[in-house]
Amino acid sequence: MTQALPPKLQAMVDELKGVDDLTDKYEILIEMGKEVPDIPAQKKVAECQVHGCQSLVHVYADYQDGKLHPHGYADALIVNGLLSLLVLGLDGLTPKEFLAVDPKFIESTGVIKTLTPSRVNGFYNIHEKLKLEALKYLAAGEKP
Amino acid sequence: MAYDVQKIRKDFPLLGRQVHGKPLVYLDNAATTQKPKGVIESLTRFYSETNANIHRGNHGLGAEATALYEQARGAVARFIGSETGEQIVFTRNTTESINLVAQAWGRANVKAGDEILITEAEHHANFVPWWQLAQEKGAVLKVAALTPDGLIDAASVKALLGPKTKVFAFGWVSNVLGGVNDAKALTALGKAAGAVVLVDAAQSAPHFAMDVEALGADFVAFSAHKLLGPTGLGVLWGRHSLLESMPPWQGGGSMISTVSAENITWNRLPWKFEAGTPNIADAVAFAEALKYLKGLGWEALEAHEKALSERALAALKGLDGLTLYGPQTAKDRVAVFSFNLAGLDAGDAGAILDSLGLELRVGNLCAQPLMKHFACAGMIRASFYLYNTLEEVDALAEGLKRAQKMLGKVGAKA
Repeated sequence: MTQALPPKLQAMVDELKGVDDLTDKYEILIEMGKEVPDIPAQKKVAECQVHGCQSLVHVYADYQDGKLHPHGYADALIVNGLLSLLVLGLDGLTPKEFLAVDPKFIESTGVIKTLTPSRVNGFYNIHEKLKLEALKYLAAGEKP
Repeated sequence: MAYDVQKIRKDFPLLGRQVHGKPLVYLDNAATTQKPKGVIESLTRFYSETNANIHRGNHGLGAEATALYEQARGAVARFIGSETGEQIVFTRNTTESINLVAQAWGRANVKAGDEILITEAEHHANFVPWWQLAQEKGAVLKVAALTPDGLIDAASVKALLGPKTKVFAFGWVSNVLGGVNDAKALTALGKAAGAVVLVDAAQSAPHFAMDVEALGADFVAFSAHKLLGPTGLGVLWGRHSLLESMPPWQGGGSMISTVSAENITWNRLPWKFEAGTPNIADAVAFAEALKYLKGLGWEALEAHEKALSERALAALKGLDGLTLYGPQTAKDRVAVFSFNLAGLDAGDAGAILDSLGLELRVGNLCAQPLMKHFACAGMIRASFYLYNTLEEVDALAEGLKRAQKMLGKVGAKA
C-alpha cells in the first residue's frame, strides 16, 4: 500500500500531476525550485555535497524541537526543483516521519522518467543524504 | 535530381513518431543515426531467409550467409577506396577498432620511452586506449593543441612529433565541434616523422567521401551505426603490410588456421582479427546502408548539410548569450554544433528541449579533455544529418528560446 504523503509534499506532487505536458511540468518544477532559499556559504562544503549528481548539490538538515528542517541548493534549476520536493515538501517532520516517506513518490509526478539516469540518481542521492541526517537526529532524539 | 528531404524522411520509419506527445526532432545524429527501411528490412530478411553461421558449415545455407557477409566486406572496401577487402576488419564499433590497434599493434611495437601523440579534441575512444597503452609500456602520451576554432593545430603536431613518436592518432572530425581537420596534411606530418598514423573517422565517414588510399594513413576506424547502419558493427581498415605483421588480438574460432597443443597458426587476413562468430546480419545490413548513401550521392548530401549548417549558424548566433564552440562558419565543418547559453545549465536546457520533442545530447560528450580546454563542464550538442530539415533548425532555435525563458535571465549565472 502506498502511504499517504505529508500534506505539503502531497500538494506539490498534485501540482505536478495536474498537468500532462512535460514542458509544463518542468516549468512548475523550476518555479518550485525558486522557492528554496539559498544556503550559507559555509554549508557549501564537501561535507554537505551530494555525490553522484551531475550538478553541484549541497544539502543538510537542522533539528529543532523534535522537527527536521532540511536545507539545500543545486546549481541546476531542474535539480533544484527536484530538491525542493524534499526540502520544502518534507520540512517540519519528525525524523521518524521523514524516514517513513518513500522517495519513489517522485515516479508518480511524471518528471523523472525522462530525465537522464544521472539526474534520477541525483534525486535519490539527495534523499539518501537527507535520510542520513534524519537517522542522525532520530538516534539523538531517542536519547532520554 | 533535386534533393527531396521530405521524400527521404519517408524512408526512415522512426522519424514519424512523437516523443512526449510532440513531433520528434532528432538532432543526436553524432551519437547514432536512424535507419532507412532498406536496412531494417535487410535484418529481417537475413534472419528470415539466410541465417547460418559462416566460414564453417559445409552446407548451402552457410555458403549463402558467408557470401553475403563477404560481399558486405567488399562493399565497405569499395565505399572507402580500399584496394582489397582483406584490409577491412569488422569489429563491434570504432572504439573496438582503436583498441584492436592499440593492443595488437601497440603492445608489439611500443616500448618504454616511446611517444604516442594524440590531440586535445579526441573522443575518449581515441584517448583512453592510448593512455592505457602508455601506462602499460611506460611510453609517453603527448597531446597536441588546438587552434582557437578547435581544429588540430598542425604547428603543435609538428612540434610534438619526433624520432620517438611511434603512433599519431587523431580524429578527422571532432564529435563535439564538427570541425573538419585536414586529415591528409596531418597524416603526412605523422608519416614524415616515421610514425604509424591512425585516423578516427567515426564522425567524418557519415558526412563526406573518404579514400583511404589517398589519405595515406595506416589505420582508419569508423562505426556503421553513425552512417545509417546497425549498431554493433565497426570497421577497421589497415595497411596490408601492417595488418600482416601484427599479431592477432583476440583468440578463438575463425582466427586460426591450425591448432594443436604444441603450436597454433593464424588464419589469413582479415579473419586473423575476427575471432568467434562475427556480427553477420549487421554487416549484411550495413551494405544496404552504404547502398542507400550511394544512391543519394555525396554531392547532394553535402549540399543539403551545408544549407542546414548555414541556417543553424545564423539561428544560433542570433540567440542572446550563446557561445558556439568550434568553427564559426559553414566552411571546415559538418552540421554538428556544440554550444552553451549564458547562465543556463546544459542539463536543464537539454531536459526542456527533450520535453519539446528535440532529442539532442548534453554533457561532456565523451570528450572531457576538450571540455577542460573550453573550461566548461558540459555542452549542448545538436547534430544534424541527411534527413533533417531547415524547419527543424528553426524548431531548435525556438526550443532554445523557450529554455532561456523558462530558466530565467540570460547571464544570470556565470
